[in-house]
Amino acid sequence: MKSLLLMSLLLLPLLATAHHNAVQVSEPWVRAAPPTAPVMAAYLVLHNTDQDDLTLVGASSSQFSSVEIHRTYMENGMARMALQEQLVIPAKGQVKLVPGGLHIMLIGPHAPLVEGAQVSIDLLFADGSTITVTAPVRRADDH
Amino acid sequence: MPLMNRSHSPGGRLLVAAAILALLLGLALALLQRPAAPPQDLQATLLSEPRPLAPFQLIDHHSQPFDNSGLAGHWTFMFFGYTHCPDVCPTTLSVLNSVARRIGEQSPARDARFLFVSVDPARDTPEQLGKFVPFFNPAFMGVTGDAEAIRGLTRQLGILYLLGEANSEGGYLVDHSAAILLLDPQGRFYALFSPPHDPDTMAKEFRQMAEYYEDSQ
Repeated sequence: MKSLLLMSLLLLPLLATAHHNAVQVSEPWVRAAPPTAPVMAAYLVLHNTDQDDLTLVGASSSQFSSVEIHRTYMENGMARMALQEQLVIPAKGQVKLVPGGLHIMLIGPHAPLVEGAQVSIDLLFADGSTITVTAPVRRADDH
Repeated sequence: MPLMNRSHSPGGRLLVAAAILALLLGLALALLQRPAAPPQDLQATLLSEPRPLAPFQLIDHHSQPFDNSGLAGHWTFMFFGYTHCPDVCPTTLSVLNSVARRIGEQSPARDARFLFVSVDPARDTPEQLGKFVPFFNPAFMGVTGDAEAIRGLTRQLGILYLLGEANSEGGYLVDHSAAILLLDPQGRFYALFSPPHDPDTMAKEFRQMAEYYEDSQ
């Protein structure tokens, strides 16, 4: 019994890692902003390859004072933003953070970030795991 | 009857023919001068009557006075936002840059100016706007002013905005209308583009509206 318990405990970190690896990030980018911009926005796609929902509960970056996840939405003819305390990525599904919708709000850059610079963002999940995303600063594709 | 008798004579027939011809010519002239029909099936909202703006006094990002005279002689695309806006404002300014490029490639390339009016004058000083707005296009102009003057302008244009609660660091978000307004060369509110904004559609519809405007002058 004791050895079984010990083995289960040893396996727990592996389980956390399994969830950690289950989230994949694609197309990360930070919209280039004026050098004095007080806030910037990062966009990306989160893919959950796991069979359980995974929940993003926060984000941080050493390059910014604080990082929040927001959702832009329209109400009464006005564009508004709502802080997302958590973001659920459905099992075997994806969540897209794109202009005009969900975005990562990067508040208070410690230094101006110009086109071509890289931004490192840590995404924190409900199970305690984090993944680090590297997003290039660039202008939007001209459509 | 005398009239009937006259119509049977050659002189009378000529007179009737001339009268009919004059009538037809008159009709033709009236048809040719009929005003052009406004463009149909636009995603943009064309006002049924362009709306003149009451006088306003604001300041541009060079700290120069900006008033109604700044709208005369050219088309103006106007957007209301603030520099602490992470998503909607940079996205829209980026779209407007794409629109500006497309208008510049049209034939004729009409004089269209682009204005970013701040709804957060407390933080958006001319200097702050000067560092922000031209980044998206060097020809774009930032405009700010005292809160009352901004309100006076937004009220006339149906633009809404709401300053949010300050957080512990004194920062705050601002809710604001995301419509892009079009003002004509007489400085009148002419049309508006509701989001989502597509630069190709906006540039195409701008041309249709400008042609209609020119045909109506």
